[in-house]
Amino acid sequence: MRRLNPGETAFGYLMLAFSLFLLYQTYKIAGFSSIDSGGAYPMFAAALMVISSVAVVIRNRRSPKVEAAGPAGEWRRFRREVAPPYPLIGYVGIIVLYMLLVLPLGFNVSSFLFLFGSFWYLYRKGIWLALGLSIGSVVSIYIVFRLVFRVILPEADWLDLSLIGLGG
Amino acid sequence: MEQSLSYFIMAWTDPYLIFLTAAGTFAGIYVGVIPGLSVTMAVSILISFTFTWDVNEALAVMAGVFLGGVYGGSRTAIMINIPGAPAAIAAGFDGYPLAKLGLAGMAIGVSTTVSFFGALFGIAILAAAAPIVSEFALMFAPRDYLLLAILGIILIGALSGESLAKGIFCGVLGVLIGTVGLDPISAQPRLTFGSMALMGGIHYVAAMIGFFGISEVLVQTLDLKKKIIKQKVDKILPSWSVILKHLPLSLRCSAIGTIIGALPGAGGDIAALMAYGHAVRSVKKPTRPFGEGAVEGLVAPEAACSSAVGGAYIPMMTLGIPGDAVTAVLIGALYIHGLKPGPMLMIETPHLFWFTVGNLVMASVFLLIFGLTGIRAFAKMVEMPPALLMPIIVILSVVGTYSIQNSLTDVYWMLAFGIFGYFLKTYGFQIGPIILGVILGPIMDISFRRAIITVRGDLGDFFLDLLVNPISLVLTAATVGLLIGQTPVWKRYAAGRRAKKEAAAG
Repeated sequence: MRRLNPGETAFGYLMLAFSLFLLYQTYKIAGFSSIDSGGAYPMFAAALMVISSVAVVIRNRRSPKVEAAGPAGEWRRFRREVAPPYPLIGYVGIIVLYMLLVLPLGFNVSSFLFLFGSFWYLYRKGIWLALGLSIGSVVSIYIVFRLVFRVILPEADWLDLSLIGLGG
Repeated sequence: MEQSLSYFIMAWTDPYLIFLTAAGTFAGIYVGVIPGLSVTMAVSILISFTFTWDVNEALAVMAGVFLGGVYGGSRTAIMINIPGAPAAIAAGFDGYPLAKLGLAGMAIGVSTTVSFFGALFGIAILAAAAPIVSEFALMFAPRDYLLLAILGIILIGALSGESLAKGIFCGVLGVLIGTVGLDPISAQPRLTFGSMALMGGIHYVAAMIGFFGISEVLVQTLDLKKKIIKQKVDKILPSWSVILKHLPLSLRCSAIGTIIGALPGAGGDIAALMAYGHAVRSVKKPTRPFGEGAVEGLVAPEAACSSAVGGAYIPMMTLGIPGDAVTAVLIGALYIHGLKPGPMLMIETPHLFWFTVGNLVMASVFLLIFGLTGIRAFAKMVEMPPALLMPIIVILSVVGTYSIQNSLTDVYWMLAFGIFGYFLKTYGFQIGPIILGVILGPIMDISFRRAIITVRGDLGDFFLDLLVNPISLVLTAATVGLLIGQTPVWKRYAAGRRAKKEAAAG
């Protein structure tokens, strides 16, 4: 059996709690009214999920533990290996910010900002390279998807590209 | 027959369709080449762009991406020992040692040619078997579909991950994601938590792109400083004598690949591993010892994983049951184009079936062309730093998810699934079963309810039917056997027996 990753035990319990919650929610759909009700099938699925997550928890308990000094040590390893602030958490932050900005800024502007930020944050080869690469990427993505494939992209109201003869 | 032939050549006569198949194959190969970018990811992101297209055009691209992607992964497995896709894991066993001997060019050439023949073999079986299977499938009752779907989820759960429990957990998680929204029969809201946005359900493409696209981006983000080794490749056209010498083995492995590919839940990765095992057992005098650069050890998995593509199309086209995660995504795409994969597909829209067969053949030809050329571009792709590639994948995921139904809510779901998927992957859960669950969930739901309605709600009759009807009995036996085979008690028993046998032999 492989050694557990930092946080794996806690994740197992979390999944058990999650499946119990789903079991309760599926029970609320139709209770035990009849076998062909809308709730019976999801409830059966959720019950199976509870059983399998119990099996996962048991397996985790038997597996070789994380090499760490207590919960504090495991937390430190979790922060270092599974969810390090740089690059992972920071990058998730950038992605979330991007998705929040898509609506107010429109696809082109927000994607440019996102790519610029990402290249700068992850690639670390200077601001000008990041700028050039992100402009190039946004222009090619726009040409391929909007103009060739005619995919509808989120657009900001204040920036109407159709006014200058692009998009539409 | 004549009509089938005319549908078959339809893809060959329209220059635009030829172009799309070529582009799909090309994209598939080069996505497959990039370690971490799986075929499933490519197909899931790609299908979202084809929703507004004509169905033939969408099918052409998808056939190309699927075939190209399965093949492309082996190149990096050979050259840098990082499989570009799970199906290519076995190709690295002997492919990488060959590259270390300075024979990377020959290895790529052989793998391309063998993949081409393997793909053709699988497609030929598809063309021959699918019409028969679909006629047979007309006899299937709802409970048989239920059993087939359960079988698929258990099989992928058992074969793809480190434990059956995790596999089933993921499969069922997918099933539950699929039940969110209004019940298809009674229109009762399920798992909507009173939210209007959830009434319409969670779109499965958002789940696919999140689980395969974003979660992979997050995994790769942790590994930005990965060093890529450069290889020199000159001559890659293999000689006829090498091809002819390994033809019997590649035919045998193609047969294995097609059968494994046709099983619900098992795809190219498992086919390749089984074929490798077959080669090790059956080839007495390999060119070099296995694991040290035996050409046979490369031929076997390559033939098998390419032929598995044709195999995987069989249950997809005839039963509407996905053979693996990629076909699950493809089935999703067919639904979006208003088609219903299943036995009626062959009867109502036979042209689509023969069109797909023609397309796959064309994709194989392009696979041969692109596989034996463009080595320089390939080297550049492998060297592309993940720090530049990952942000672009994020953008493509956003564009793909948004274009499903022009909704940002889908995009937020995709992100949530992506982050969740990252943790699942980190802790040894497999993503494949989730997608299979999402696609199979509604099929199981409706089949189960119909099966119960046909026995007027009597559970006793339901279980009796499982045993009395011959088709159901075979499927029930397979499902129960597979489940028992995965229990710790049985594994201990089997291990004990093996030990006894070895003790008796030794």
